[in-house]
Amino acid sequence: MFGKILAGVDKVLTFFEEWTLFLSVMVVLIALFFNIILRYGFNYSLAWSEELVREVIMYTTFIGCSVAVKTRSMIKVDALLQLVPSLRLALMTISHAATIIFSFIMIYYGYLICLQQAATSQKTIILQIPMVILYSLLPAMGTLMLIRTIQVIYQDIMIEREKREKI
Amino acid sequence: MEWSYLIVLLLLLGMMAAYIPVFMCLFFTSAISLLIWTDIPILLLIQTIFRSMDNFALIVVLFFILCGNIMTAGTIVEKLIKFSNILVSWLPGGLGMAGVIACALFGAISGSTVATVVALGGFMIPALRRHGYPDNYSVGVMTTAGNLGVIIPPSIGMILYSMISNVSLEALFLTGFVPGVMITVGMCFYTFFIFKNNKSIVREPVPSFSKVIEVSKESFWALMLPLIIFVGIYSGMFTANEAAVVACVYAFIVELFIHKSMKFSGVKNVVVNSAVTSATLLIIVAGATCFGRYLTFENIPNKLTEAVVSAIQSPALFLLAIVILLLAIGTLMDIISATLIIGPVCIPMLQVFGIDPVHFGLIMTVALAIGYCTPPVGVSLYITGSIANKSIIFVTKAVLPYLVIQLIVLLMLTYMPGLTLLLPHLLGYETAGITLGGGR
Repeated sequence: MFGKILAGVDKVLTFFEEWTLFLSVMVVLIALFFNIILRYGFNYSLAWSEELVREVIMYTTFIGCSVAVKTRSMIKVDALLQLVPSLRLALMTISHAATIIFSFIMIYYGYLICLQQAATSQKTIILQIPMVILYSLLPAMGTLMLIRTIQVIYQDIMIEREKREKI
Repeated sequence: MEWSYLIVLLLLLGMMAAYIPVFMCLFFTSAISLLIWTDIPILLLIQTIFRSMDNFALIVVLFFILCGNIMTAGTIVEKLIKFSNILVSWLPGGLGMAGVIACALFGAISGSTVATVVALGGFMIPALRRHGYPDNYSVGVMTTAGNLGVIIPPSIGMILYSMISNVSLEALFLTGFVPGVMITVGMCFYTFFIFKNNKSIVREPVPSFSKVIEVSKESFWALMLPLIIFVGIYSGMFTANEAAVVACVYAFIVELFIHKSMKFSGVKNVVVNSAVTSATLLIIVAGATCFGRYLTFENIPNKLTEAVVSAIQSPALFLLAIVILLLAIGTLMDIISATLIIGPVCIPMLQVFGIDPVHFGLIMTVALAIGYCTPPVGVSLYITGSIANKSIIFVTKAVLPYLVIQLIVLLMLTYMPGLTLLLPHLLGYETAGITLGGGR
């Protein structure tokens, strides 16, 4: 049952993450390319492109981290794991626990920052996006990472269980 | 308090050893240290994570990764190997040399060692085996040639170094060509001497002129890409940022419409993968910025500089110590984390010893790159080990001669700044201009 819920959540999240990441990167690529053409051809440049780029970097980094947790591609130092493979289970547990703690820190403090920003109602200079929307990427990152970590832990438990059954 | 620094260092290393993602290690260490020894609120660190991503220059990382990934997903690897093969296949050990040269060419598109080892090693090791090359040769050469990926620009390590040290990225890129060519030539010569008297491997005949033209035509579009990047940057047409954008657009057009090796559905996968790869790197930038907050708050870089200067007087000795340190760290950590953690601590020392920061950037990149294939824990060793189905001990023995070649190149670069800075000076980039020993 739990597995089914996770699979459903995964489907929705993956769809959301992949399409938004794809679109935001493509939009920036095209905007910057046109900016180069405009600069050379028409001596004109798009003022909003730089701001858009910075917002997209934030978006891809914070949301991309959630995908990285799912695909286990977060950068880690695996020296100890390779030298002492028997520690695998213990190290995995520590790593997952740390990610969960980090997610909660992000959710809680990210929420506090969002409240602060909402109170000041600042906006970005050119595109006039309220800062609170950009800052809400932080708690969003925390939430997504938390869900992804639970999903990865579930996978690990399933693999462990299968191994035991085989023996 | 001095002992507190040791605790912080142990905390950081301990967390890293415990398989916690590197950026979280940096974040947790700085959070804990700031909580215990200062009265800075955690909220400031969260703000730092956010603010550190608010940086236009970071986009270059994403686009160089994207460009490399587009070309890897397409047929470029095959075309580069074909082209390199026609150049050298008639020499003894020709296919092995072709592998090295293909790594170098691939390095001029891609900025990462792991990508190079996976793409070229996965293709070349089986091919070398089919042609009767001994396994210890093919594994050794393909494990170590992958380092060319990060040494030859564009290189992600150099991009981040230029960001933390404020040296010109364009100048730093230029320094990568000399060591790239030296390592390529060195490894090819070594191959030549191994196979000079070997009769069991059939040599290809010298290719006819028309054949050379035919293969060059086929790989023309692939070879144009590095040309566009570098001619664009050094003729002053593009900044490095714009070159990355143009390279991506060019790569998409070539793979979609000319090679026709990629479908529109493949585009989405490549873009998403690149965004995720760049996210895993950039979040370390955020973590390192948090850690940097702690370092500057405690004034650690300056205190460390004073300690080092009072212990070591000669710049030559300082460089030797740093190179050994970097080689050791390079085996444990990836080049991005290592650059971001070690860089800010080392850069203040350079001025005291009269070392050019551009020169140092190259030393750092090459030394950390060599760490990728240093036994027992270099990442590349495990990748080729699993491709060739060999134990880590076999791979370790196989890489030794090539590791020695690269270490010799590293030492030459370290102690001959004139050689390293030759190209930037020729093209008129202002570097600090101080050479080894001239600073005091």
